[in-house]
Formats: sequence, C-alpha cells, structure tokens
Amino acid sequence: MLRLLTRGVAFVLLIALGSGVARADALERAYTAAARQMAQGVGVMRADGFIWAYDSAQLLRFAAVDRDLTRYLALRAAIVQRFVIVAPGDPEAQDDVAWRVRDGAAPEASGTTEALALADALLVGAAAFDRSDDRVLARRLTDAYLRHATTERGVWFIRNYYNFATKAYATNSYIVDYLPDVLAAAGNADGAARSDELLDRALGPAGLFYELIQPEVNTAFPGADLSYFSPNAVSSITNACNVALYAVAGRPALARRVLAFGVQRRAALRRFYDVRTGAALSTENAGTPAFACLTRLAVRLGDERARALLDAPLRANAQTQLAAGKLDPSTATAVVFALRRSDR
Amino acid sequence: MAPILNRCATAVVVVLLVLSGSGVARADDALERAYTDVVRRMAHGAGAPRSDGYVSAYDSAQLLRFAAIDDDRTRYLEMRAAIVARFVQTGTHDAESRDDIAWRIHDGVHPEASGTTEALALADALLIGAQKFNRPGDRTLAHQIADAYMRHATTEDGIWYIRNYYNFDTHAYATNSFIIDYLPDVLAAAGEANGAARSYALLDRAMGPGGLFYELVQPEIDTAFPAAGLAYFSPNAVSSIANTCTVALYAARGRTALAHRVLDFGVSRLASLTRFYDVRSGLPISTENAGTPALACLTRLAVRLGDTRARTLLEVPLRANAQTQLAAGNLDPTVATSVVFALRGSDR
Repeated sequence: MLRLLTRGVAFVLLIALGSGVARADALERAYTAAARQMAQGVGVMRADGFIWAYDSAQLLRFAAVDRDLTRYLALRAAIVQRFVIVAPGDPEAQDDVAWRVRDGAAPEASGTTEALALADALLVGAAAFDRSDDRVLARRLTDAYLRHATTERGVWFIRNYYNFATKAYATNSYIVDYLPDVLAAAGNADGAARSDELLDRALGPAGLFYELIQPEVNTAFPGADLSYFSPNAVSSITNACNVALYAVAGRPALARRVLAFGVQRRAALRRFYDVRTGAALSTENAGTPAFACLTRLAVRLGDERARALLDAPLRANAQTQLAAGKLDPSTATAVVFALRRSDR
Repeated sequence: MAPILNRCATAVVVVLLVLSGSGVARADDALERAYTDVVRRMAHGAGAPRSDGYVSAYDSAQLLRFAAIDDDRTRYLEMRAAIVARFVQTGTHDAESRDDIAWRIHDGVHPEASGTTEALALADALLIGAQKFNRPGDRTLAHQIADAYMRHATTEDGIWYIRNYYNFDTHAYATNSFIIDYLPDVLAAAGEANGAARSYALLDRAMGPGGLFYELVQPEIDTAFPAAGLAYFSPNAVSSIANTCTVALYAARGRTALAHRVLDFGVSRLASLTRFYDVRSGLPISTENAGTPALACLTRLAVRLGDTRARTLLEVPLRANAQTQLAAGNLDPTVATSVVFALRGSDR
C-alpha cells in the first residue's frame, strides 16, 4: 500500500520537476506533497503491516510545522487513540506509547524513542497552535518515558521498552532512545540532565555515539567496561545525527562534533563507521536520511557553511530516492524540514 | 568469606611449595597438589561464595565436577545433595521454570533468574558423576536439566538461539544470548541431539573472521541496523580468548575443526596472550595478560584434542601464571578447578 502510494506520488512529482516550470525549490514542494499525502489518519503502514509510532509522530510534527491545524487535529486524535496506552489495570503502562500498531493485534511493547518523538510533535503543535493541552499531554508522555529509567551496576539508563504482555522491561537501551532537548522542553529537567550526561559518556573516540547501553554485558567481561558499546564497533551516522539533533540545546559541543564528522566525510558518506577509529565499515552510501538529518543539525546549530556544503549531496540523494519511489514518512518529513531550513 | 578461605589455603600451600623447592616434592606435582588442596577446601556444601556474597551455580558445578573426577564419592554425594537442593528449581508452580538452575543464590534471597551456561555446567558435572559412580539417576537429572535449558530456545528473525535467562520474578525471558551459553557436547552427551545440532550450527555462524567467537547473539539489534547483519556481534568488536576457549572446550567433539582453530589462535599468540582481541581482525585490544583462566582452558582444550605439541607449549606459561595467582590468593572455584584439570592432563 505504502509502496503504491509513494510510487504514484513520485510519478506526478517527477513530471513537475522535469518540466522546468518549477523554481529551484521544486524538490521541497515535491517532498511536501508526498508528506501531505501520507499525513492522514493514524499514519502510513510499513511493509511489515504495522504503523510505526515514530513515523506517525513525524507526520504529526510535519502538520504542526506546516501550520495545518485541521490536519494536525485529525492526526492527533487518531494517533493518541491508537498509540497512547490507557491501562487502568497496569499503572506501569499508563501513558506509554506503543512502538507500533496493527489492526486486530494488541500493542506489544512501549517505545521510548517513539514516546519522545510524539512528545516533540505535541510540543511543536502546542507552540504552533497555542494548545496548552498538548503541552500537558507531552509531559505525561515524558513522565511515562522516565518510568523506563533504571540504574544497573552504577549506570543510569532508559530501558528500551516495557513489554505489555510479560510486564517486564528490556534490559538495555539504544542511543536513539535519548532526545534530551525534548525532555527539557517538556519540563523534565532532571531526566534531561541525566540524559545529557549519558550522552557525554556515550560519545565514542571518533565522534559518533556508542549504539547501546547494556550493563549486563559486563557479566561476561569483568573489568572490561563495555556497558556502552556498538555491536562489532559499528556505529551509524544517521543514528548519531538523530540523537545530536535533540542534544543541540543541552550539549551543543557534542552536536557540533557529530556534524563535523558528517561534513568532513560528505563526499563519500557511508552508513556505518568504526566507533573507535572513525574508519568506514560499509561501502553503502549513507543516503537521504543521513544528509537530511545533518542538514537539520547544521540549521539548528546555525552553521550556514555546513548547511551549504550539505545542500548538493542532500538534493542529489533526495532526488534519487524520490525517483525510486521508496519514501517513508520519517525520511520524507526530514527532507522537508531540511530543505525548508526550519523544523519548528 | 571466600577471600579469607582462599588466603588461608594459599598460606598452607605456599609453605608446601617452599618445601617442594627444597626437594621434598617434585616441582611438577607440587603445583597440582597445591591447587588440588585449595579446591578440596572449597568443595563443601553448595559451594563457596564470591566476594558479592552469592554462591554462583557455575562455580558450584565445577566443584561437583572436581569431586567426581577426584573419585571422591563422599564429597560428590554431599555436594550433589546441597547443590540440587539450592539451585535446581523443583518446588515451583511455574512450569516454565521447572528444573531450571538458579544462576546464583544467597541466603535469605529468592533466586532471581535461571542460568543457561550454569545449567549445562551442572548437567556436565552430573554426567561425569553418573559415569564415575555408576549413578543412572544423575544421568536422568542431567537430561531433565538439559530439557529445561532447551525451553530457553527461541527463533527470532529467522535466528535460533538460547535466551540467556528466564526471570523467575517477571516470568519473562531475556532477549539475547551470550556465546558461553552454548556447550553443545554436553547437550549431545545428555541425549539432546537436536539441541546439540542446532548449537553446533550456531557456533559455525558465530565464529568471527579473526578466529574467536562473537560474544552475543541478539537478533533485535537488526531493528536498529536494518540489513547490517549484526545479530551476532561482540561489544565494540571485543572478544575474550577465555570465553571462546570455554565454548570450544565443549565443541571439541561435534566441531573439532572450530576447536582446533581456537587452540591455534591461542597457541600462536602464547608469547603475549592478552585478554581481548578484535573479533574481526584478531588484533589485541587489551594489554592485560590473559592469565590463568585462559591458559588453563587452552591446556584442557589441547588435551581434549590430543594435541601434545600445543599442550607442551602451553605448560610453561600455565604454570607461571598459576603460580602467581596462587601466591596472590585470589582463586575462585572455577579457576582453581580448571587449573587442576589442566595440570592433571585429564578432566574426565
């Protein structure tokens, strides 16, 4: 369904782009049109048959940034109803955000990245449309997110999910589970401060983040201090950028370091790097998500030089991806925000 | 308690070694006797607590194994009774935890979770006891424990693996697996042919290009890294020679070539064997000496593989490390028993 939809959109938009009628921002308009087509109901189904909360949160955020109150309210109602857990029998799950949903299936587990992404969208909506209720809801979501916090072997971290069936938390955490600027904006100052400190510790020597926090790993490696690690030392520039994007207010120096890592390698940016040395570990082009994120990061940091350097590879990748008809909501909205040079 | 016990044992033993240096005992046997003495002091009841106050099932299984190999039926039966009563989950209403092995115990504290490495280690000890003392009941119990271990098996994203533990409190399984959770020769000996075959196949996949195993199997990782093939990985690419050797020791029958590869890895680096290596390149990642546990394990592996040359090459560094550790007085049951088995040139 998603594939058919995106191919149809791509076809119409390529005709518009190829006609020469459009101005230089034709690409932005094409991506905006694609995002608008997706931004309906609860969101868009992925190939696995699930609608992902992270995708839907990006679409809600887009509606707010697009200043489309009607679309925002329709999406908000549907998303809150489907994703935000109301659980009178399990206080541990109350106000959690289901990481994905599917018709006829009970939600499996909470999503922590997803909770912060939805809180972020609600905060942007609250500011754009002067909706204080959305600020209140965002705070409830971040409070539920902070219930995932624990300390194990002296390491504070946010457990990746809460399993609604077993009522058990995960025992690890992914770096993308931390968006401290969202916590700060929602009023969770302590959670933001702890997350900022965690990011200080999680930045690897090469300038990307360790991907996981899993203190139990030390059981098998006594004294080796491997609580923060990347699997096989592999770190993703896109994951690092997504975290840095929401650490700009609290940790601008870290965010600049991630931006510098990407900008230096923009001529041949790869998906994966060695977290220790910075050597490329894959040959695959990092692609549109990485360039869109880095561009947004440059904008948030006010680094016009970096943004200008990233413009050509961003546009080339975005054009190719549009032509291939392989857009998902997260990528499409990130490109819109990047090309508009504003995501608020 | 354990450090005090160890230090007393060490004092006695160092005196013995000094005497041995004066010609009372042959140097070769003195170290083995010293370690045997230490182990015998630890091998009582349910086992010796570690510095955190917990008695680890893995340690206790090694002590039970030692009692069997030492042909000490009285000690074996006493330990068996205590270990089974404390570690094997029999009186539970939760069918999912029946015959699981608590990974560690502490007086006054409910067992927290099952241990999978621990289950196989105890099954291994019981199988040796069954053979040594002609106790078919111990073979039956080993099979029950291996069955409970197999309940930890799952398939996720097309990958079969043994979940690291079952949490007795939340009734939930872990979502990952450590490489040391696999001792397929034990499963085969316990009659779990299918589990053994699947475990051998997992080890084939888990061998990294550098010659050590990836340390974890965690298919959920692929969610964050689509198509990157990171379900088998080592944290920061760090693999331990001691962990790899422990697995190889119990794959020597079913995957002899893998076991040889691990032995070669260790023997070719003997002059400066360090604790950790890059799982991809085989380059050292730490400067720390791999120490007694790695050298004792490699020696046992050489013995099991019948590689006399490797065993001879390992002997000097093993003895040097074992002597230093004995003098330092920081022995735990697992290291101490492993040294005994290595020095005796037999662990069956």
